[in-house]
Amino acid sequence: MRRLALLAVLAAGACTPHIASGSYLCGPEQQCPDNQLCNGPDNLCVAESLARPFECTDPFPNPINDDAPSAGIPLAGLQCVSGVSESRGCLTDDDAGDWYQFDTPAGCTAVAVDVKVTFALAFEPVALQLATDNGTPAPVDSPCKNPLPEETGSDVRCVHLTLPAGHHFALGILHSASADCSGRCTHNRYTLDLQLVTP
Amino acid sequence: MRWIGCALVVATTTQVALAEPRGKDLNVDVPGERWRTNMLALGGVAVGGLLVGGLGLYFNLDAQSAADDASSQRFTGVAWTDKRQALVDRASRQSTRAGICYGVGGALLVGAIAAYIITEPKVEHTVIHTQPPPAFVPAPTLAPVPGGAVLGGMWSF
Repeated sequence: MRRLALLAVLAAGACTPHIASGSYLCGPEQQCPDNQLCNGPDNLCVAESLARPFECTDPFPNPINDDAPSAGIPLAGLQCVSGVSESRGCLTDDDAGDWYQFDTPAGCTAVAVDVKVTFALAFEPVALQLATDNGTPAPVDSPCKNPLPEETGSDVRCVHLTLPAGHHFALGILHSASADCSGRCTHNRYTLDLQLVTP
Repeated sequence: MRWIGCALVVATTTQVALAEPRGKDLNVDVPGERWRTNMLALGGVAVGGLLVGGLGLYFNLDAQSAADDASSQRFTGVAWTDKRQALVDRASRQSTRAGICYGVGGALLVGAIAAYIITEPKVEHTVIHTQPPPAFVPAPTLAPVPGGAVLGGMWSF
């Protein structure tokens, strides 16, 4: 009887999950296991005492003066059918948005743009806008061909649009004002993949 | 004459009462018999305790499985999502249920055992008075026969 009681106590004790610090990536809105917090620099769930605030780490710079379509970072050298142009950036709390400019070559019979922006699931998702010939930006969003499962710790936004040839465009990466931890995680690091293709 | 007969009868009876011998007293312990209802009730409680304990074991194993799924000692490369949190919640919930079932099941079992001991039927102590072996007293018989009577005797051995 005593052995049975001991076994029951041992079995009950084994029912509490043991999760080491740094085992998991942060989930949506910095979700982490109990007694752990989302670490800002690498969005890993770590022990509360180890957690540091968000920062734009080395591979994800935060360029200044790119907050307007006309001041966006140029993505030069795109052909009618181009390779993937990859840019990494960081959207901070006080940053209105990051803009990137590109042109569609004039000689293309038909051209489309494929955009994929991958970002950490832990922080505020990004929203995309497109401005044509320095006009008013408009929100753009298309279904992604390969959406990322939640378990990967990343999310993705896509744009697939047929564009007129010989024009100037600006693509903005902005705050979505959603899933931002009630204003506590209005920042993110992202990777932009842009490619011109035949529609 | 009637008075004499009556006196004889009284005298004979008194003599017999005074002279009645007693045999040995046998002390016998008769174990009490448990009622069928009692057996069924105790068995039911004990089986109930085992069933509830078994249910507790199920909850316990389920909690352990959920806890194992959520546990990790190294980088998993996956995000902490609602699905993972649900595993932790399930482990906690099932663990609580297991504890309750173990408690209730154990209490039922202990209660059944205690009731079995308490309701143990009492042993009845009975004294059996035995008859003494018959004394060697021949019984005279007198049978009238034509012209007289036959006098005889009877005894057993």
